[in-house]
Amino acid sequence: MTMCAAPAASPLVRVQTLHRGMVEVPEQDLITFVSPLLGFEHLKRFLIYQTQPGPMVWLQSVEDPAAAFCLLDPFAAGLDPDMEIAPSDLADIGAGSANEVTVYTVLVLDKDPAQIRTNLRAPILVGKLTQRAKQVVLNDQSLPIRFHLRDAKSRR
Amino acid sequence: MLVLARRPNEQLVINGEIIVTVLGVGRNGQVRLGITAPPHVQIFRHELWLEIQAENRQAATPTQAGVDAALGQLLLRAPAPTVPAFDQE
Repeated sequence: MTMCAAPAASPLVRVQTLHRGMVEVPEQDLITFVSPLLGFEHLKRFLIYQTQPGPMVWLQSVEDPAAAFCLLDPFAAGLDPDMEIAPSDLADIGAGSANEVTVYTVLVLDKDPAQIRTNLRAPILVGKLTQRAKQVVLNDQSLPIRFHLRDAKSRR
Repeated sequence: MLVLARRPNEQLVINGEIIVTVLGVGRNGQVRLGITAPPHVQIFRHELWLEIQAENRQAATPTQAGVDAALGQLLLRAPAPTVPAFDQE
């Protein structure tokens, strides 16, 4: 298993993934949640990786191989939600500005394609320079917790 | 659980930095609370919290087939995030 871009400095760690088996990554690539993913309070360290180009990534728990989530970059996916990130949230993940943050939303991949949805109300913020992350709950009630992707095209 | 009786306009102090004020009690039994807290303290209705927990639990352990179905519903636009990538097995 090879990495696309392997920084030299950091020691390699082994991570058991749900979709790609055992992989080795530089330790500095691991993400640390500074406040928990709601409902998964016991999980702290994750690997974010991709298995195909595009706006979807896997959020794989290091501690629990069975805990993996599919995340969406809602901006790359053209959903263009208006999200106002609080300065205290930026500070929590060590980001100086919104430019230093990658925003993901949690995808629910329901068996029924009409039910495939993403949570625009509670995005996951990852500090690009710090690899620190948190799930925030935005105050904006116009952002749906269940945004169905089948509505994505009509939204534009 | 700590149980306290408070009347309208009476307050509680939590941890020296969060102040909860009972603003009033309606005839329908609804209690109105005012809360002042530092910006780092997140305050939400418990229902919202539970709803997001439930969505996260539903999102756990997805399949590749689900990813393909979701991709088919999106209009894609560059640039996508830059993260480590692993080739197909």
